[in-house]
Amino acid sequence: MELITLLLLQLSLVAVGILLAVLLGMRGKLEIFGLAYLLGSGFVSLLFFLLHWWLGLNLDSLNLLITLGGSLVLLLLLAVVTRKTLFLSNLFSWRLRKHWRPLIKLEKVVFIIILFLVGFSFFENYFWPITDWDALAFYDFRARIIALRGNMLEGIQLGYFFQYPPYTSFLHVFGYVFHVQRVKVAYSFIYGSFLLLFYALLRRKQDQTISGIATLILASFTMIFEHAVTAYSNLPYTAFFSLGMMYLWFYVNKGSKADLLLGGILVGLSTWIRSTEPFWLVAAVPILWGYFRYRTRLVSSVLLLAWLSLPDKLWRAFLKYLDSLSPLNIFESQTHTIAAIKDFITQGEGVASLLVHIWQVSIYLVEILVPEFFLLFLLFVFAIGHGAKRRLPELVTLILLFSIVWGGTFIFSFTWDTWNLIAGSIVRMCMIFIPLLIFLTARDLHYEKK
Amino acid sequence: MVLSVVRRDTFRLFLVLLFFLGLLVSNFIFELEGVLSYSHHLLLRSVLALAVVSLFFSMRRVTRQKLQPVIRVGIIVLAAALFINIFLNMINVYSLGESFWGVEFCAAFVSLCTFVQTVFFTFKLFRFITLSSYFFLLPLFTLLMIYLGNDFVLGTKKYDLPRKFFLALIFLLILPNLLKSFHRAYLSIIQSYQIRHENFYDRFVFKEGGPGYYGWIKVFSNFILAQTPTSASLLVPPQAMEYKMEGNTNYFRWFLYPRRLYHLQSLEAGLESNELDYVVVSGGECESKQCVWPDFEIDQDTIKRMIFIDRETQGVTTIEGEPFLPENYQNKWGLIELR
Repeated sequence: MELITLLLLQLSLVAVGILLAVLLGMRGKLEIFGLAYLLGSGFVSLLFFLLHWWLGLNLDSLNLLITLGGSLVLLLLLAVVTRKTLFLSNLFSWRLRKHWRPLIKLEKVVFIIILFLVGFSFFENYFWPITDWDALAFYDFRARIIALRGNMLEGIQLGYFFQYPPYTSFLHVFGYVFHVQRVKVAYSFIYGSFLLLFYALLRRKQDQTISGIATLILASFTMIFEHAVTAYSNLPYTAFFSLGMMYLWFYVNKGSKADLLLGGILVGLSTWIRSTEPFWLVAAVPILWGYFRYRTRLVSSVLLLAWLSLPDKLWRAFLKYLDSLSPLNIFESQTHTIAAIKDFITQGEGVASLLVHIWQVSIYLVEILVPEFFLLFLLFVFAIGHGAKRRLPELVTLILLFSIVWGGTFIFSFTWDTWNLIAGSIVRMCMIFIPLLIFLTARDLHYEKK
Repeated sequence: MVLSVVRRDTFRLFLVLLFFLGLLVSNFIFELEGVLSYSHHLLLRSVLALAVVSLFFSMRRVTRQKLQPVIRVGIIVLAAALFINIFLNMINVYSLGESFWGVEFCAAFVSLCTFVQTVFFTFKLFRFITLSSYFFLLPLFTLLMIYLGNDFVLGTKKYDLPRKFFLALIFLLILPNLLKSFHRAYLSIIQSYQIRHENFYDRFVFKEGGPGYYGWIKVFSNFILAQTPTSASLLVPPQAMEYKMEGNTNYFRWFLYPRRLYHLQSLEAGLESNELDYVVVSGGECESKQCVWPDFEIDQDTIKRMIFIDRETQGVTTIEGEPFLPENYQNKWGLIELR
């Protein structure tokens, strides 16, 4: 019974996501199914939160059903009005045998291994309870309180409750309000969707052998696979952000409106998951690049630029509202990042100190990142060595992203004594580079077939 | 010229077999030392596997085609050995004789069971069960890549050096990652089957290494839940390496909510001592040294009773009418109920 409830819940989110993807202009079946759970869970969790905050609805099973049901009805009506129902009905006419038979042995084995990894992650997340430290201390604990009380008010007294936006906690809440305990399976849905969409995006430009092998590299990459069975926010964040960036890269190169919309929406939703790292700022670059290249879609570009950090801003506005309800202070008027930057500027470090810290931070990052990423980085450099000019938007994006990592660590080296004791956090923060590097390496690869 | 080409292929085939044998032998040696799973060893094994694959694809296509049946047999043998290893681990073959159906079977077929046991211990077959998945998967994936690669690449002699280097990097990226992922799955499948009858939340104990390791926090929490009402307020150890779980209120609260957890600093910050109902006694993780928290005395008049849980047996004992003196309760776990 629990399994059925669980699957119905997840499939409802998928249904919402499918409608959203189709309404946003997606046509490729694989892309639609890859986007479905990501868009559905992001949209429903945000809507559920807003209905709670603005209309005072309790965060319980009845209101979740209303949110889900209302979303489905509204989106279906939109689909009817925009005449997309025929397309929707054809989405599910898919013959496995027709697509499986022509595959060569290598491709079949690659897909079987990927399916095994996704299937194993589902089994692992279904069979075992949550044991991960940060999940128990924060994400899952918060979800249990929300499901029990129908709101977050008790979190004010409990403390350590509002440090991150609540996307992953809401994934757990969706199960807990229906007395489903095995909520961790949501991470398998994210993992599977991530791989499917990654493959689908590669298939736009690459044949299925290379796309399959690249997806296998991503699926089996130790850090990615470990996080598929861990109830942390890093994998969901990596999925949303990196896939959003890939869509924006396509937008810069092709100018498609659907790519612009989906890229911006996915990157914006990533701030609904984690907002400590300001990687969303970099997404503005391809949006603006595309606008100046094609001289069109001004309104969409402006709206998406505003959307990029809106989920996080909504969350912070909610915290400010909660602050007003209680004598206890939970809202910080500025984020840790902004506070650290201000401290750094006001401290006014000398040139010698700056140079020492530049050296220390650079060595520290090399020491902790090389063991994880060396081979991948080498592969990437090798692949893009030829034709780097054609990949300018992508390279600029990657350099800016890494600058944020380096710059953030540099600033914190002045303001935090323990800045060099958080290797694990920095390595997890750099998880976004894994799919981005694999994607860029594989996308333009050419080889001679037999 | 044809003869020299055939001789070249024969020489390469000899090298392939030599390197493959080297892979198996070195796997076995590292396995016995328990270091096969170390990252640098995995990478070195992968380089050896890469050498096998590279040499194989440097042979002529006709030679490679002839070897396909042999490779298929090798894959089947290794896969079968891996599945037997998984099966024997799942059924926990060491305790088979003590299991219900094991006892029944051996009572009916005494001589067969005796024979199996004799063979098992004489030939040290138990070592087969202790082999990790890496031992089988490394050569298995190597053979699989050789078998499948025929569909994909031209003979590598037609590739220039940069392309060969690129393919080598892809190989070195895929193989260790696949091995680690499959090893994770291997361990989980075995453990899942062995504890499948455990209550869902109690599986936490086994996932975290059992009551002797980090799983203890769940066992200890179950003890506290049984001994205290939901409205209880508990004084817990400080957040320190020795008490990293029970001393971290953000972590510990997941197990004990809605009970309230406080540190000593809360008393300094204004919490009244009569608001506390219990004091958690923690034996800590003190690396074979003796330690306990509280590390201060608690007067007999303040104590209603002391309840202790034995970490080995999970037996519970109650003590009344005595003060709490840390020197008497080193490495003990329990609760002090306050008046």
